[in-house]
Amino acid sequence: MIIMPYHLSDFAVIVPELIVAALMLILFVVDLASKNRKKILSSISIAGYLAALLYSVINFWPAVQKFGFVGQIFIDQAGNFINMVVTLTAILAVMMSRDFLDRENIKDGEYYVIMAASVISMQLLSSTHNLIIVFLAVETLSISMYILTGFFKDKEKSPEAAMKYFIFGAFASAFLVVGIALFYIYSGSVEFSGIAKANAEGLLFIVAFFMVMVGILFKIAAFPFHSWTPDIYEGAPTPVSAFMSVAPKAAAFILLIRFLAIAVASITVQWQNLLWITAVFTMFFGNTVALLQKDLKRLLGYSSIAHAGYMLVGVLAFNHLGNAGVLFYLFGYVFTNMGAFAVCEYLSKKGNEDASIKNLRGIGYKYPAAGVAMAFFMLSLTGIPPTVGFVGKFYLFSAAIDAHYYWLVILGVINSAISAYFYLSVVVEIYMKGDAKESSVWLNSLTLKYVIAIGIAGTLIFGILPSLPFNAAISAVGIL
Amino acid sequence: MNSPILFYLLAFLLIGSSLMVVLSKDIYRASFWLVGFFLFFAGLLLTLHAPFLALTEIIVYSGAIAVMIIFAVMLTGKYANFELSGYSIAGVLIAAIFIIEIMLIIKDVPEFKNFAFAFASGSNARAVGISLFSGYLFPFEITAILLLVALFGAVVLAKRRKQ
Repeated sequence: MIIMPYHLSDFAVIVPELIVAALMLILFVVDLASKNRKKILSSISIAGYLAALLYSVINFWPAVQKFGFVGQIFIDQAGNFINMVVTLTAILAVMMSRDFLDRENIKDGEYYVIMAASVISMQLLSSTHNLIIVFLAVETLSISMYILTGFFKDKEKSPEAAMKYFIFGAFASAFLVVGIALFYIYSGSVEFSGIAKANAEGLLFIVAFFMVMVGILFKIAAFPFHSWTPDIYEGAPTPVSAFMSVAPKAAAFILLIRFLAIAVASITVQWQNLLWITAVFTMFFGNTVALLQKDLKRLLGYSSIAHAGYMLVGVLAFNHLGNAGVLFYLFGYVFTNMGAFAVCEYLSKKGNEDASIKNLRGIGYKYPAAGVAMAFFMLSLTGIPPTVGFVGKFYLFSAAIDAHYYWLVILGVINSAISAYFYLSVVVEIYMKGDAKESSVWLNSLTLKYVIAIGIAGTLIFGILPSLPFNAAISAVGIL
Repeated sequence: MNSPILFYLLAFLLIGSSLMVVLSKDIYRASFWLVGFFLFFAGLLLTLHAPFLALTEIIVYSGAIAVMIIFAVMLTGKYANFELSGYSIAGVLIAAIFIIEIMLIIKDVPEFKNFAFAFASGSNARAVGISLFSGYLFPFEITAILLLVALFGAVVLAKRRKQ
């Protein structure tokens, strides 16, 4: 006789996941039923993600951790916060995809189904202390991302990027699963709290820790596991690159924070040393290599590596302000980075995806709104007030100062200065006199323009009034 | 199945077949030796009282993965040139380092010795089944999404567009 350890009340813990799972199945059925009207899929997607987003907003308070399914999954403020970031990113990515897929002649409705599956995996990743669920969620996330990357079947670069991503990702997953197995051998548990009870002196514990870190740092695209990023961002359809640069990172960062704070708290000094090196190399690598880029999407790829480096500074500080800073940074990054990618998509030509920076010459006069928007997003990515990028960096670096990481902050500020060069060179190109060599047809899409508008509004409003999301983030990291 | 003779016989066959995988020049032969290797390994697991792992080994590895390798060779054989050669010195070096590492870990980490006894506690297929469908039902359900996505992906990426 098997006794079921679950009750109906357990399902209250996974409502956001259930909403998106229902959305996924509805999308699949509607896709089968509707032959050629794929735009309805994007409308349904937006409605579904909006429902999940609203659920997280409404149920954000009170600050408790509600467990379900024998403690394998829970819902708390940090999970809700990341759920907001992920669903918001998904909404913006769907809005960017709506006319883009039409133009590029991508007719497979599975695009939206797979995106929904990836959102479920990120929701799971952000609300568990169980390494088995972590592994399953990471695998689901990775596989959906490989497929979305390869959706441009007509172009050579896209399947090639998907293949590269798959091979790199398979290695990272292998490390992750071996690390989890070693943790289980060593401590007899796959729960963070069980691992924390084990004696951290053992060789096996250290090996397991390194292997799990490889898996997580790969998802964050931190040094030395960053090398896949630019190629994949360049090859993937632009809305997918945008989605990929924000949402999976948000889920991976909350996982990293929880793993470091709970499972391996006994070796805090050692992982801080390790992460110090990783953060510095990630920032320097992203920013210096970005100086050499000629392609806008590759530039944004390297810039996202650098931003992961800044966020690692916040994780490293290992205090409330640092963790909340990371959450706030991710929140601001949604608006700024999705906006930048949206402008990049707006200025791209059919088929010929590679948006060279040279092609931006003079668009500031031809398309004033797009020019101003791009300049604004570049300022936010550099971290210049009054943008959300500035406020985010301010929180991260002041958390590091609180934790006495002075050198790290100095290196971080030097990196911001380096990054100003290539971000501002994009702005200079936009307002340079003269025309681009190839005259281009811009993607005329209403939803895409809305994404740019939402990006500007978010970047500006939360740059001037950061207190609402920041207080939510501070409260969220109270219980991890 | 407690006889050490059976264990050593299987271990000997295992080492022999894995050497043949590495040494054979033809990829067809190598992949069939690989099937043999998986079967002997499953037998070895049976002598260690791990029937569940043994069956998984047969179904997943010799059943699916080996067949997949053979299919891949068959489908791409005309276009690809499979020459198995070279790297022997590097291979021996890596193998030596790996063996030394594993011996060091087994010697130094007491957990591995305890771990070996865990197998000897009777029918683990039943134990795995019960925990999979009670305590670990939730992760088990998540694999449904994982497999669904993999299925969609295979269809989407393999489907040719009508010209």
